[in-house]
Amino acid sequence: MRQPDRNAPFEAVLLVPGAADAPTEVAPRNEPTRLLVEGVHCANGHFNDPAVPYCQLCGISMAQRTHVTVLGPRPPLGVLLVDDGATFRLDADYVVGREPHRDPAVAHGARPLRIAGPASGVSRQHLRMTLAGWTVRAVDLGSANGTVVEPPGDPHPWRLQPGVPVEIRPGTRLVFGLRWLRYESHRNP
Amino acid sequence: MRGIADYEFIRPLGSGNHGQYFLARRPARLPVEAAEVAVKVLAAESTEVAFRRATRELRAFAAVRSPYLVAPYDAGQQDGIFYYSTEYLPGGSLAVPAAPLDRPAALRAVAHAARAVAALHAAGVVHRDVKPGNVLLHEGGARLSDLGLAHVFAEGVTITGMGALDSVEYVDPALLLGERPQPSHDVWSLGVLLHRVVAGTGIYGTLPEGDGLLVLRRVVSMPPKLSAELPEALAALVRECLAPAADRPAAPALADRVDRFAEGAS
Repeated sequence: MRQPDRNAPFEAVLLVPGAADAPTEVAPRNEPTRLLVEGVHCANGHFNDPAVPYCQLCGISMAQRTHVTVLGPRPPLGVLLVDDGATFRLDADYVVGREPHRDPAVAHGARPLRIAGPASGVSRQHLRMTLAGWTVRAVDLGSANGTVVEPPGDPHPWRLQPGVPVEIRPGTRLVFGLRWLRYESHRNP
Repeated sequence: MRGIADYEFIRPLGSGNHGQYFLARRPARLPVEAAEVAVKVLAAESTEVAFRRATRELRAFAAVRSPYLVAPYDAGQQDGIFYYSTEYLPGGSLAVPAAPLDRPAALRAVAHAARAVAALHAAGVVHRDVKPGNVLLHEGGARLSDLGLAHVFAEGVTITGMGALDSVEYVDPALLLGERPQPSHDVWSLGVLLHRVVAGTGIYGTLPEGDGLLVLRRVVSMPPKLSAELPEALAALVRECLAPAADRPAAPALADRVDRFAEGAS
């Protein structure tokens, strides 16, 4: 772990009750606005992708349901699992790289997913993960070394074409430089 | 690390899944009596935005008054590194107790953790990181520490990869799979904690050590299985904590029931 420069100035906020600090402001959490998508409810009321045969939360068959879709807030589509074990909730877009916060998409609601630690071959803004309806897409942001897609159970990895978003399935691994992340989900077939 | 801001470290106390703890001398400016305090230094890089969010969340935590919560003292940053200090409890934690615990004492500690969670829930705060290492022991029982702050430093993160992923087996898989944090997730963690202190094992059997990704896959894909070591009455309570979110007991009721087991076991 990095040592702080002890000569650098520091700022501190007292948390002790009665401290003369300003009262806790109840600022709204910076949550993404939940997009509305077309979906169907299972018998237990879970909101699902109309394309799936079984409820992706409780496993009940969707066959008996009349497939009249309704608009509802999109549930998280799963997580991004990074090779260092960190997982990120897929309820917003992510920009992945060494300095992802500099990508203009971050100003418009995408979250920066900073690749910390050894990042050889990882560009400052390497790729973006975007949510489209019930699917997850990956787009290479013109990175220096490219992004390799490894779909689950497929022995033939292939390269993303820069700037072209491609839908990826759960279990797909995306390799960028010496690092990777995987899209994990119990949703989607 | 020798210190941060105006804290001089005495010795390291251990590391969590997103930082390190140290025992430190209390700086003169802190209006508390204790001579020694615990300081947690986070591994993630601090930014202005993250610092403001982290102090806001810690203030919300600090505003919850409960004898079952560790008292936070101070939060700050120096040279891009975030820290916060809390009271120091010398009894160790449920993960590494300073002295061996008998079952009634361990059950009492779980009950106290549940009361701490109840106080947080009543104030609209979800703890997110209930696990043995965060249940700190003292003579009269236990206090819950360490609000999970990982999400503040990496927005959208559900668990961080730093450290041993020791907390994954306590996390409701629904949270790992992307659900927003809810009070029922803390109740799940309390159920796993209860299982751990009574049976001595987790609810996923022995997890592969040192391979965080395998652990994560196991936790997400395997239904929990309770140990046969667990007395039936306790097993029933653990099962309730692991039930679908709507069927789980609320934290105060859980605390009362664990307390009764503690009394019965002593």
